[in-house]
Amino acid sequence: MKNKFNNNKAARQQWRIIALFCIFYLTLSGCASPYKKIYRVGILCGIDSLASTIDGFKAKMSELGYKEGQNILYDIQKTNIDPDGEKHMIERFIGEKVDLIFAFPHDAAKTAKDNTQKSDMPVIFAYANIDDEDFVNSLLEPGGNITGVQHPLKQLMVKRFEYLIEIDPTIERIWVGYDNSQPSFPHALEALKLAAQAKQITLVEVLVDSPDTIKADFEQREKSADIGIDAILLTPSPVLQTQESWDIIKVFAEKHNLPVSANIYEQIKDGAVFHLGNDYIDVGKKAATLADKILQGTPPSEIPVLSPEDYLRINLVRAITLGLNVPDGLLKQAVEIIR
Amino acid sequence: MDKHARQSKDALTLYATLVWVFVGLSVLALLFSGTLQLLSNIQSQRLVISDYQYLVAQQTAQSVSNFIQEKFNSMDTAIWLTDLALKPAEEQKYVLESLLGLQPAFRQLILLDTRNKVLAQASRKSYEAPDRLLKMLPEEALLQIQKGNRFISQVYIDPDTYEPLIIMATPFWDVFHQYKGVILAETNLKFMWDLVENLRVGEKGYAYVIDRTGNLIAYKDAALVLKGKNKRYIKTIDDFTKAGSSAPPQEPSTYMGIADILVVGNYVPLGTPDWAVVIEIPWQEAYEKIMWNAARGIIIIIVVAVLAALLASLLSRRLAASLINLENTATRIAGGEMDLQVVVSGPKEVINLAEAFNSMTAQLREMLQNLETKVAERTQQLQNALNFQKEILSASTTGIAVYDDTGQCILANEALGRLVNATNEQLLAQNYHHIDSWKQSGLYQIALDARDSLVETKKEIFIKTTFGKEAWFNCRFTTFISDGHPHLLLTVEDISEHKRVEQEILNLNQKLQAQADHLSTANKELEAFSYSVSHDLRAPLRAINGYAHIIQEDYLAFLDEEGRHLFDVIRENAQRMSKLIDDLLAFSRLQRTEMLPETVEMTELANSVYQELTTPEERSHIDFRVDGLPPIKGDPILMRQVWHNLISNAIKFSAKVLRPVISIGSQTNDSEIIYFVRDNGAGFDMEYASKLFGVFQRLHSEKEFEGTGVGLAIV
Repeated sequence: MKNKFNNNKAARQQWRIIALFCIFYLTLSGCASPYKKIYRVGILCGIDSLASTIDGFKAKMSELGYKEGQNILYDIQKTNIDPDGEKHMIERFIGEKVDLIFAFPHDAAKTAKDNTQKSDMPVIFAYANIDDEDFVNSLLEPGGNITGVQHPLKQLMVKRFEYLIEIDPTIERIWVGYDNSQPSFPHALEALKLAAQAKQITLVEVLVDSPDTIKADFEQREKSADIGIDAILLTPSPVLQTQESWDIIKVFAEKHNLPVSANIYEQIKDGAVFHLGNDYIDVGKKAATLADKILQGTPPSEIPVLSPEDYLRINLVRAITLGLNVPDGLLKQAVEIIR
Repeated sequence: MDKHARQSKDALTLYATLVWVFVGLSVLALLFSGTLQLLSNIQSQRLVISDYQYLVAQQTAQSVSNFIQEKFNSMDTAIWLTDLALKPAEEQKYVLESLLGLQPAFRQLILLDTRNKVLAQASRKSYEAPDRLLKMLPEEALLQIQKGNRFISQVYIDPDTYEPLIIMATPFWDVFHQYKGVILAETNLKFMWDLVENLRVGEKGYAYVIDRTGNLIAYKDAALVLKGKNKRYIKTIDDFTKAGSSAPPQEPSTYMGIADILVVGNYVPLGTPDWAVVIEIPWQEAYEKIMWNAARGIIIIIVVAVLAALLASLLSRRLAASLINLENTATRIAGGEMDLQVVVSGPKEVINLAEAFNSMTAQLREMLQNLETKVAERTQQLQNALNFQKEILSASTTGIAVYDDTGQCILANEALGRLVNATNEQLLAQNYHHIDSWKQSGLYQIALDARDSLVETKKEIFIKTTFGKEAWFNCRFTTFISDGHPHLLLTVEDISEHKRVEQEILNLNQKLQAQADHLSTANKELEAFSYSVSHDLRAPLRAINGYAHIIQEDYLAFLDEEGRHLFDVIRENAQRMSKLIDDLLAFSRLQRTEMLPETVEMTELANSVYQELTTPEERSHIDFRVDGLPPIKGDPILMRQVWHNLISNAIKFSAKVLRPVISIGSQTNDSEIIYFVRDNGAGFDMEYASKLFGVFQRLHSEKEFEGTGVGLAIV
């Protein structure tokens, strides 16, 4: 009996040794999990002309290690100035519980911000005019569930005005179309008025809510011998960014030899004299760095809002056609000159 | 289970011990060599990392320096190629705008003349007054510039974009080397971000730029730069801020890096501007190869340990087999099979051990037999002693009981059973915590006190026992320790008869005291009566005597012989009666006199009284002898009265003999001194000796010896 007991004891100790080795081996060998999270990002492009922003965004995300189809999926939606469509898409993103919403420009971003208040779904914006709006708490700590790449409207508008009168010093009256869709527009317009007043230039302000409004204004002007304006300064109003509006403006400007300060990049190649604005690819890349931080767990409220650089592009052909002598200093500052 | 048994159970078998020793030694050796190798590898890797980081940091520092230098160069080139000092304002503006176009990092350029007046301005932002920029320049900076030096300001943050900016200034001269002015360039450092961001430092390493105060200037995470928080809490940055400009290169350190991961980091100062480039490589990446080697080493250790275990198992089985056989036989002998002999084969040492074991078991058997015989003898002796003790207990007339620490009775003798009318079984079934009669009589509390105080306690107590007996018992509790536990010993004696006699004596004493009190009261009354009578009789007697005296003095002539004789008789009797009353008053006063005791020299006192009572003539024919009398404690006045009465009595009653002899002496017994006065006078019949000291008792007629019969009563 005792002998049996001893044998059992020896066997137990043998098993203990084996078990110890197994635990040791498992501890060393098994920590890596094959599971990797696949992120889902909803992208809402509110204006088709800004779509190249998405390319910049995806390219930078790829650089940061987010490979489309492997660990990240993009749901890209373009609504092209359709407030209802924007709202619908944002609701869809919320319903599908995407990890992140990237929405631009201002109106789409605002819709995303307003509709995600309850869900706390992170939102990144671009081309948002946050100067005088209750859009974020501050540039350093935006608060809430939102951060992004800003678009300082007031600064941009005044600088476009300065370039316009530098290109054509004979200008006395400038047509400025605007709408009231964004609370910051009146403030930007006020700054513009002050700058114009200093230069003794008259701003011809026209409230536009549709391409038809623009058309009606121009038709009215053509009824007079003097159309009442010497140049056109386009603001980032959604209506003014549509192709339909641009077609009306372009025809009118060509007909009356008016220099036009473009609103979007594409317009510089289509008859505008110059464009001062962001590089869409660059903006997309900046937004991607923010997205990376959010996906890695940083709350959007703690990520500072980024400011993109404005780049000057000049259509010298159009300027010469109009008989304008673009200063060499401006040409030196331009990142692109169409000759 | 005792300690030895537990140790035996927990002890490893020989087999397991050998396995563990083999495995342990193998692992220890491998760990030792592996650790040495690991430390060597770490040291080598540190050197590699140090060199690599320094190289990358220098390249980055060069790039950053180039970035700044390029800006200065642009401004210098514009100055010299365009002969800026001599150009009109329009052309100066053009030059500035060209510089803006050439260097995207320039946000604003201002041209100042020798008096710091703005000659030209170009800006990417909408028109802004140059005052802001000028206000940010310290006066000494302008002095420095006028002396021909370049200037770089501290980093400051743009309030609109929160981007880091600096002011760069470079002076310009005319052909005669006359100072003509300065170009100020507000430079946006975010254009340096790409430079730093695109830098590859290993797989996941990174670089960033800090200024001397510890502020972040360029880093791949722009958000962190924009927040503008000081980073001096990071070790390397803190080192830079504390180090001088010419500090030697540092060794790489391990710390929590700017990305909140453990990193190996180092920095290289730029010199001009006074910034530094910090290079951080994740610790995991830096020591990845070493970690892999360490993991490989651990796997090798495991494999070797397994092999060592298997080898040890085989060897130990062979070595341990004969010992296990020996152990099994020993186990069986321990189980009672004392006649077993060990038969083993194997190493010589084990065979010797087996023989020694067999010899030992033989001796054990013999010792066991002796031991059993001794145990039987001792058991009988113990039994006898136990029986003797039981008989003592049985024979004792004192009731004895023993209670254990729970209060249970564990021993009671027959005497106790007789005393309380109980059988021995009934007594042994008792627990004193539950005996009502103990609690009612107070015996329970006495038992508890004795148990708690460990002091012997006894008490005479009247009790009605549980078994119906009522009696007086003398109970004595004694506490003693047995087998580590306190026990209570109770001895009981029936003292009912003793109590009864004691009560009777008490009753008699009470009666006697009552009678004594009664007698004392009667005596006091009698004393009062005697005093009152004596005192009251004196007055009429004095009147009778006085009137009789007057009649004798004044009317003697009118009386015949018979009348005079009768008056003489009246006077004599009145005088006798007066003397009698005086003595009675003295006796009565003596009874009420308070005693004031002190030492009295009796010899002196007796001689003094004798001298006082006798004349020299009387003393000449009286033979008066006084032996040495011992002194006494008493009232000297009263003692003088005693001697006076006794000696005067002796003189009086020996007066009729020819040669009176009066001797005074004493006898000393155990507790008293007897003084005596002896004379050779008339004497008295001893039949009446008891009356000798009574009042008015006379043993002789008055005609023989005058007196009132009160003298000895006073004694």
